[in-house]
Amino acid sequence: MSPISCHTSRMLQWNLQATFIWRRRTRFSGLLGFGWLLGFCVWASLSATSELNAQSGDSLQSAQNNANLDSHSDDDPPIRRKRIRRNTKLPEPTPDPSIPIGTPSPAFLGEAPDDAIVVNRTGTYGGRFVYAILGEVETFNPVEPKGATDQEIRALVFSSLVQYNNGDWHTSPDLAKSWEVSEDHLTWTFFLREGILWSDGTPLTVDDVEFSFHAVFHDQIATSIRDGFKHPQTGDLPQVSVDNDRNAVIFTLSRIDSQFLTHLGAVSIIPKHLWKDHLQEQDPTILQQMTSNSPPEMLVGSGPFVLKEYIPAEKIVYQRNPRYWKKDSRGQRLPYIDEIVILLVKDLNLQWQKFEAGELDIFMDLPADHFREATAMEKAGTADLVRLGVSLNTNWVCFNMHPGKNPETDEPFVDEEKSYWFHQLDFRKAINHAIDRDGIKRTAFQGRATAIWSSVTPGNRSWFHRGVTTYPYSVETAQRYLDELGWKDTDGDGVREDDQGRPIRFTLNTNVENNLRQQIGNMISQDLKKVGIDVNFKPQIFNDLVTSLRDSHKWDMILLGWGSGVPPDPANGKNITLSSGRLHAWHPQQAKPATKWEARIDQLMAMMDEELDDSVRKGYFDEVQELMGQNIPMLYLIAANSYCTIKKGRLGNLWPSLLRPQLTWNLESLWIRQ
Amino acid sequence: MLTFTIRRLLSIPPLILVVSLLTFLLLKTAPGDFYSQQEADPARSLTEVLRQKESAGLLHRLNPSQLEALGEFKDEGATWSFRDVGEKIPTILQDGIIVEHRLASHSLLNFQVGSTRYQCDDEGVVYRKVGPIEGFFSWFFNALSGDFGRSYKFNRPVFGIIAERLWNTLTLSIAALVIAYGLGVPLGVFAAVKPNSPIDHTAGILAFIGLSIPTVFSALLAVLFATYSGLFPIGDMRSLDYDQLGFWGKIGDRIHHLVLPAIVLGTSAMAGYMRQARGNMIEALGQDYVRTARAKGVPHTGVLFKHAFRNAVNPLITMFGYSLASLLSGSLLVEIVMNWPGLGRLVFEAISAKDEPLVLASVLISTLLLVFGNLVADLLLALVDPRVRLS
Repeated sequence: MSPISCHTSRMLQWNLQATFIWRRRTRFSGLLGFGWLLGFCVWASLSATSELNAQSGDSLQSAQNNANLDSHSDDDPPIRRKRIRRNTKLPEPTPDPSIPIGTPSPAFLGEAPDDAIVVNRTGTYGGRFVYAILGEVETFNPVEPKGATDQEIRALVFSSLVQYNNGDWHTSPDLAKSWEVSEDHLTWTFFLREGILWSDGTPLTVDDVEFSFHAVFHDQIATSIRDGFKHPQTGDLPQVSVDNDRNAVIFTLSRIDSQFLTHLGAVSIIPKHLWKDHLQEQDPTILQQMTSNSPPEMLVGSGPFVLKEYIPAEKIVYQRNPRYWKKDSRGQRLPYIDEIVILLVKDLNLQWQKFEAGELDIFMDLPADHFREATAMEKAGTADLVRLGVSLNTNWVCFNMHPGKNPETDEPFVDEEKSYWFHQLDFRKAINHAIDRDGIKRTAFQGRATAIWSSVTPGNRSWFHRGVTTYPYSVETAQRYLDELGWKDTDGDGVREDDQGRPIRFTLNTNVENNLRQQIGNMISQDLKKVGIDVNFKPQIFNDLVTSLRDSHKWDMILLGWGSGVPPDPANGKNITLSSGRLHAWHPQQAKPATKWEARIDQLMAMMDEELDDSVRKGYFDEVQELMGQNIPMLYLIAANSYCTIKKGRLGNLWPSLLRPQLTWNLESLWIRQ
Repeated sequence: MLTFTIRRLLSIPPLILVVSLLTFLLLKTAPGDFYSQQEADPARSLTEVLRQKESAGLLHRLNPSQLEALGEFKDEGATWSFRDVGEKIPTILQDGIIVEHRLASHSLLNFQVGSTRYQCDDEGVVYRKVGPIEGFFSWFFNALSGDFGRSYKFNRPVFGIIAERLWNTLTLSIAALVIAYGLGVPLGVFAAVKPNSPIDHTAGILAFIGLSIPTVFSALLAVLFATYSGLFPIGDMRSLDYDQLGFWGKIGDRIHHLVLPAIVLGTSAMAGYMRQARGNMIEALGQDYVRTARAKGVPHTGVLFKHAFRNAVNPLITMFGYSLASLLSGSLLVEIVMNWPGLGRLVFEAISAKDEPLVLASVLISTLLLVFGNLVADLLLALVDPRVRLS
């Protein structure tokens, strides 16, 4: 999304973010579904600010929870610490009956329904919680989730049948109190909680749920939420019906879908009584409703907060939904916080200044440039630094192995000699050995990163697999592989020639908008020079890059990244893993799998889709990761470590998560310590 | 003067047509479109992305009978055709044999019949790509009837989005303009009256500093100053508790927030006006009529302001006309760094994301401002200088 190089002005890069930002799915809103995000976007965007990426320290710490798992100083980045704490799980906050209750303002209306979810927390009412986001409100309409920001802000206002719990990495009931699955796993019956009211006081019924799904499944409404529900071959959607006697919504699927709950969580339930006139049979106008200039009181939802005010490019203000239906362990209704203010600040530097000056309560995704200042604040006792562990976002390089020809010019997409090199497994192994990941970590990430060998980083405690082949840095090994191929430097110019005497010379591209990636690219081309491969590193505008990936296939080697969504399930990366996938970067959209191992991966992914047992699915995906590790179509490089900062002692019940939004996913149960 | 004004106004429509056409074509020439990012997102299927494009008017969906009318065509070495079977989606034939839509779509992702390009989604729905000229004229005719389109990003009519932020930008730009002229012109005049004096040298140094420090940098310095001095707010246009303030409190709050960005923006522009004013004044002061006036014994201030300054001011008025045109776009960097909720940021983002309707609308507004700015400058010139005759 966007040109611009950013030498001096990192702030110029925000424009990327606007569009690309990660999709932050939150447990409330439910995810727009899908785990993986094309990282070019992601990294480009957030790290527009390549800053995010450079981070160090490997353990998790939450001073808020009085659970200092590992409190050490992070002042001196480099390599001293080899130990990597993986799969660390931050402890769930525990209730403390001694804290005062306080007075909610605005007060709650009516009584909490008997069916209310009881959250095992205690807290004090009141206070205003202020934080900033980089994005921009595109629309408040939940039917088509656009940018990441939109999902995050809608998550406060709307609920779904189920929601993903970022704290313990599981899907849990929300508007649905329970569900049944038929023997054949094709019929899912969700029982709705009784007595829940919309924020305008109207009861929330199964009709609202059915209506919301009709909107998402409507043939003429363009929404990406629907994608997940489609049958991969036929495109069939589940049938939705209502059982009024049992207060249940029934979904009839045309296939077994292991990700059904995830997809379900992406659908925000909207009030039928306000939206029904806009779901016409022909040319529905539902997507034009609730845009960013709608009056706030029109945005009726069943989430913990309601919109109070939105001022474009300045701030979004929420206040407590007085009819919210969850309770804490003392029977007090949630949420605790009176008012949430989200400032729309498009420059990360300014955000940091505001945090440092105490104007913001939290700062998520700490950029590398501010890491020292953050540790200084931690030492001075004004802020807590939360070490979340290895981020789920990857950086990788990949070779173009597309065998096709350009139909117009009848020339191959990839030059014949390059295609010959790239298809040699030993060549790819040599490259993998030649890349100094530790050097990249030290230089580009200032030590705050972890080398990776698969699309799943060690931070992903559910799917990380230790059995993936690694290719440790070794110039000798790399040279041996190339020598064995018979590719030697015969004319003494420092560049190897292949067995037919052609010098090994190609281009490496990345998107120019991302400073961090430019650093990595430079280091890679230097590393490869050491083994006699001449790489011409050429950053490009992101749109150019996407066009060449998608249409012209005119590229040699590319450096990009994937971001991860919530939940971090590999099933969401099918567009990448499947040989027919649009983002199967090295050879996209194959009519038939080009190799045996790609065919096997396709098969494993299909098996994963239809398997409901996560431990079995993990076994399948371990094999996928092993196959990818053995055949290395993509060379995974490095993942940054992730940090957040919080104003000292400001928030109660924090349960930080590696999954975005790290600190605010459970806003309804956070409380403000005065 | 009236005919002059009318003639100027009449030149606006063709100008707008040309400017918007050029903008549109430039936007189309660069690779990718607003939806490229979505296409690069593994979480979205091609089917949905194409649908979004259709609703944005970038693609035109073909019905089965239109597809059948395409006849046979070649793509990737096979012969393809469509057959209308009375359903929503036609049957696809490859070399005369019926193929499944999903399989066919892999080959037919992009195809061309004659000079028209088509795209096919995973479900066999075929779209025609709307070419740049066709796209422009459909936008243009809608615009003639007052419909300037909806922003792709915000899914709202464009002028509403622009209007929300127009005043914010205008406040900042006008404040900066006042600072630039209010300081620049007097300083320039003083420097000219005593060339090579300490005042002149100081002003000259200040001007070069102003010209050479990029606004981005001075804006960053201003933010740092605000953080560490605590005298000014850190960015933003108003404080969080703005709504609770009384009338005067609100005005005070606004001004408090306005000071730093306006100074940053104003001082960098000031330098130019100062040098301009100085140069013109020095030239005017060296003219014969000034010497004559002095010789006649006209008082010093009279010579300065009645004779020299009125002759020196013309180029400054012309510059003022142009600065009106940059009112909306000139403050972009300061808006970003200091989080001013203005238009510059919005438009810049729209350009890089290729949100065409939004870009076109803002280009229209800027063009109008440029035309009116020039008109105002010309009229002012005629007013100030009796030698200028508009006819």
